[in-house]
Amino acid sequence: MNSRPGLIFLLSLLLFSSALHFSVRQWPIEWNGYTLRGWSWRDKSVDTTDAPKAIKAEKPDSVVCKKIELFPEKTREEIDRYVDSLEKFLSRPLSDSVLVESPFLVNCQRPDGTFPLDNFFQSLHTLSVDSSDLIRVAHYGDSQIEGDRLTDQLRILFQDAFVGNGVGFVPLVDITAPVSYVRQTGKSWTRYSIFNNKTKKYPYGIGGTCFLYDSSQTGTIGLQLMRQYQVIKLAYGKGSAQSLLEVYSGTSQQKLATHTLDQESDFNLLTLSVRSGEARLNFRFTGPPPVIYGFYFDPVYGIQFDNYGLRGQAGDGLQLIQEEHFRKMNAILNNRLTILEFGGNVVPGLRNEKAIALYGNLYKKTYGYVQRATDSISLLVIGVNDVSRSTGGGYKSYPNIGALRYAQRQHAVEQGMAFFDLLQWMGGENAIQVWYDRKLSSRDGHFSNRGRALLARAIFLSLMYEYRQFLKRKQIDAPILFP
Amino acid sequence: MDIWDSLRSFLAYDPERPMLLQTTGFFIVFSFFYAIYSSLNSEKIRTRNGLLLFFGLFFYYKLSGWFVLVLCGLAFCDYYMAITSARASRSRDKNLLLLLSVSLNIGLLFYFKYTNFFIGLYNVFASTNPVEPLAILQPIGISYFVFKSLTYSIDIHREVIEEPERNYFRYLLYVSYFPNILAGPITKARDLLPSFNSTVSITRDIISQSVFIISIGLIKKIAVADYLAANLTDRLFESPQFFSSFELFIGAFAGLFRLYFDFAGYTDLVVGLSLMMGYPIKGNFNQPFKAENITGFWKRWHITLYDWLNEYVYQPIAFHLRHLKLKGVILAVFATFLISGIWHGANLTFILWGVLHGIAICFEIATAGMRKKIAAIGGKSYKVFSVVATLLFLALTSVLINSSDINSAFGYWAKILSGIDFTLFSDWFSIYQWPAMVLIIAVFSQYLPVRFYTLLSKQITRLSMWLLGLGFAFLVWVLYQLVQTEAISFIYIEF
Repeated sequence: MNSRPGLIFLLSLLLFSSALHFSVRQWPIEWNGYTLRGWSWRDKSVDTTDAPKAIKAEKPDSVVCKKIELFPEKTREEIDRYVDSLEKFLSRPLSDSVLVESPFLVNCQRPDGTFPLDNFFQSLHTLSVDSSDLIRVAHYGDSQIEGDRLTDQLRILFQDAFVGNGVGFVPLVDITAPVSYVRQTGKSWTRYSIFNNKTKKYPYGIGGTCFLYDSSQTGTIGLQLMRQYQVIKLAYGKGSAQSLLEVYSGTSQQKLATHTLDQESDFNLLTLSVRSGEARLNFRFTGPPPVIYGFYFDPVYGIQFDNYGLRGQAGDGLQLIQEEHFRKMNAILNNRLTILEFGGNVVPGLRNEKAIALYGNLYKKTYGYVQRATDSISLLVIGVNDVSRSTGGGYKSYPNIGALRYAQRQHAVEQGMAFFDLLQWMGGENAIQVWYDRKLSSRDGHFSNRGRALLARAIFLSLMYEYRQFLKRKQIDAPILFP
Repeated sequence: MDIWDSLRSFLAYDPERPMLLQTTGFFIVFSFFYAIYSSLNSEKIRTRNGLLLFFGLFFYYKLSGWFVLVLCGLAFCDYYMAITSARASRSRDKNLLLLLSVSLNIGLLFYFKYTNFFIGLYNVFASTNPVEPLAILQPIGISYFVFKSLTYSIDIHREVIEEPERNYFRYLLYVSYFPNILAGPITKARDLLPSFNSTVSITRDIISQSVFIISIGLIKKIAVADYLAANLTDRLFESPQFFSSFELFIGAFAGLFRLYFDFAGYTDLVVGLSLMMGYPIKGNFNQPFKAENITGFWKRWHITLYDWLNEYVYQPIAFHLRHLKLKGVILAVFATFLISGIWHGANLTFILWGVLHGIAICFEIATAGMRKKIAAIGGKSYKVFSVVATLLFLALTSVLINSSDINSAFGYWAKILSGIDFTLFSDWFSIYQWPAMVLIIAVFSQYLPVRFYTLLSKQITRLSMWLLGLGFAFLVWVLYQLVQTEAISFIYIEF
C-alpha cells in the first residue's frame, strides 16, 4: 500500500483547516450580515454559545409595573404538568369563576394614570350598553395567524359576548388557505404587499396590501363564506366614473348589485347593496382599476375582528403604510384595538447579541410607528412563541427566543402598550416539545386547531379580567355576560 | 473538565449526540484512524482488517451504544450456521439451518422494528382490551446489517458462495463494515467479503476520486437536503393545513428532491469513504429522475436494495408462480413491493407507498405492449411526457414517506386535489426565494449529462494532494457555515 497520497492529503487538510481557523483571532466574525464560525469540537450551534446572558436574564424593567413577573425556568416535566393544567383550566365553561388575573397579560398603568387597554374597554362598555355602533379590532401577524387563524377564534368569543357576525376583512389574493371562507381569484390580479412585491406607486391598505387587476381585463373574485354576515363593504382607493363593480349570486348567477367606484379619496368604504345571508358571491370589476384594499363581511353593529396576516413578516413592514393614510383608515374603519403578533420569523436570525439588539430596535420602531398611526386606539402586543429547530437526531428550541421576548415586552410596555407573554404562557423556553407532543402545535411553533383554540380562550379570558378591572376602576356596575 | 474527562466523554456513547457521518467529530476521529490505516503496509492484511474492525465497532458503538453486542451476536450466529451448513451433507439439515438463520434475522428485525406497529394495529381492531406499546429502542441500521447477513446465509445455502468464511472476525468486519452499516448501500457477502482477504492499493487517483465523491455527498446533504428541510419541506409536511394547495403541490416535489439529496448525499459519502479505504462499493443512484416509468425508476433508485429484493424476494416468488405466467409475474412484483414498503418502515404510510409503486409497476408490465406502440408514434414528446408523468407520480407518492402518518398524507393529498391556483407562483417565489432557487438548481442538476460529472472528476484528479487538501478544507468550512442547526440525521438511517 502506498501511504504517501493519503498522508499528504490528510496533512494538507489539517494544515489548511488550522490555517483557516487560526488566521482569525476570535471566532465568530461578522461578514456582510452573516456570522462566520471557526471549527468547534462538538458541532455546537454558534447561537447557543453566543446567547447574551445579560439580555436573556430577567431583570427589573425601567417602567414601574408590578405586573411584570419573573418566570423561573421549568423542566420538561414541569412544563408538561403546567400545560396539562392549562388545558384543564381553559376547558372549563365560561363563567365568572374563570375570570382570574393572568400573569401573562401585562396591562401596566402609564405615568398619566391610564391603562393601555382603557380605550378599547371603554368602547366595549359603550357597545354593551348601546348596541348601535360597530367597533373593530385589527389583528396583525405572520404565518401564525394567516388565513384568519386565531383571529377567527377570538372573533367568535368576542362576538358571542358582545354581539356581531361575519368574517371581517377578506383580501382579494393571498397565498394562504383561509379557514373562514373559500376564495377563487381570477388571473388578472396583482397583489402588492409591504413584505413582497412592494410598490411605491400605490398606497397600501390597512392590511399592508393592495390589489389591482389588469386594466385590459376584468377582475373577478368568487367567495364562499363560512359564517353569516349582514353587511358587505368594499375598501378601495381613488376611483373613476367608469370603474364598476358587479355582484352576482354564486348559486343562481343572478346579478345582485352594481356599484360605481368613483370616490376621489385614497380610502373609501363602500357598503354594497347586497342582502345578507348570501353565502356564495361572485364579484366582477371592470373599467379603469382603482386600488382595491379588500372586502369586509360585517354585522350592522357589534364587534368585528379583522385578520391581517402577512406570512414571513417580522412586523417592521407596517412602517411602509403611509402614516397619515394609516391613521385615516383606522378612523374610517373605527378600529378600537390593534393587536400585533410578530416575532417567529426573526427567531432563526437571533444568532448573536448584535442581532438581538437589531431586532429589539426593529420592534421598538415598529411599535412606535403603529402607535403614532393609531391615535387613541389601544395596542396589544402578543410576544413571540416558542419555535424549535432540527438538531442531531431530534428537535430543540431556538436559543435566544427569551431575549427577543424580553425586548418585545420591554419596548411594548415602555411605549404604553399591553403585552401578552405568549412564550411564558406556553411554559417558557423549550415548551414547544411538550406542545408538539400534545398535538397542540407543530415543532416550528405554529399552533394546531386545538392549540389555537386554547390560546384564543386564554387571551379572551385575560382581556375580560382586565375589562372587569376597568369597570371597577370606573365604578361601573355592569356584569360580563357570557353566552 | 480536564482533558481526560473530555476524552472519556468523547469516547462514551451519548444518545443525545450520536456520531453521524457528516459531523466534525467523525471527521476528526476518521482522520486519526485513516492516518494509521493508510500508513500500514499493504501486505499486513490482518492488521488492516483488525484496525477496520475496531474502528467499525467503535463507530457503531458511538451511534447505537450497547446494541453493538446485538450486531456481534447476530454475526456470530450466521457465521456459525454457515459453517455448519457447509459441513452438513443432507439438504434437510441445510434447509433447517437456513430456516434458523432467516428466522433469527427476520425475527430480530420484526422485534425491534415492528413489535409496536403490530401492537398498534391490534389496538385498532381490539380497542376494548388495548395492549400497551413496549419500550423498544431500535438499533441504528438494523434493516441494513440484517440484510447483509441474510445475503450470506442464503448464498451459502444456494452454494453461490462455495466456501464459508472461517474467520469470525473477518465475517464480523463484513457485517460491521463502517461505511455502509448505517443505511447501505447493501453489499452482498460474495462481493465484499473476498476483498478483506486481498491487498489494497490506495493511489493518488483513488484519493482524488474519493474526495470528489465525498465533496459531492456533503454538498447534496448539507447545502441541498438540510437546507430544503429547514426552510421549506419540514413545515409543509408538519402542518399542511396551514398552506395552500399550490404550496403543497410544490412541497411534494421539494419533499421528493429533499429525500433524494439526503439519501444520495449519504450514499456518496459512504461510497467515497469506502473507496478511500481501498474497497470500492456500488452506489445506489443513477439519475433516477430521468426514468421514463416506475420500473425504470427502480433501476436507478436505491439500486442495491432493488437488486437485493430482485434476487432474494422477487425471483424466488416469480419462480414458484411461473405456472401462472403473466399473472404470476404481476403477483411476484406486487408482493416484492409490498415487502419493500414494510421494510422501509413500521407505518401504514410506507406500506401504502410500497403498494402504490407495486401497482404502478404491475400496470406497466400489463400495458407494456400498448405503451411501446404509443411511444413509437409519440417519439420525443412521449418521452418527455413519460419523464414528467413519472416525476409527478413519484412526487405525489413521496408525500407518504414525508408525512408522519396516513391521515396527514391523505389530508395533504386532499388539499392538493382541492384545486391548485398557479397564479400564486410569484407570491410564493418572493417569500421563498432562496429555497426555491436551491430547489430549481437541485432539479436542474439531475438532468445534466453524466459526462459533466466525469469531466469534473477528471479535473479534480489532476490536482496535487496539497491543492486537494486546500480545496476540501475550504469546502468543508463553507458547508460548516451553512449548517444552520446542528447536524440533521440522514432520513434513510430511520428505515
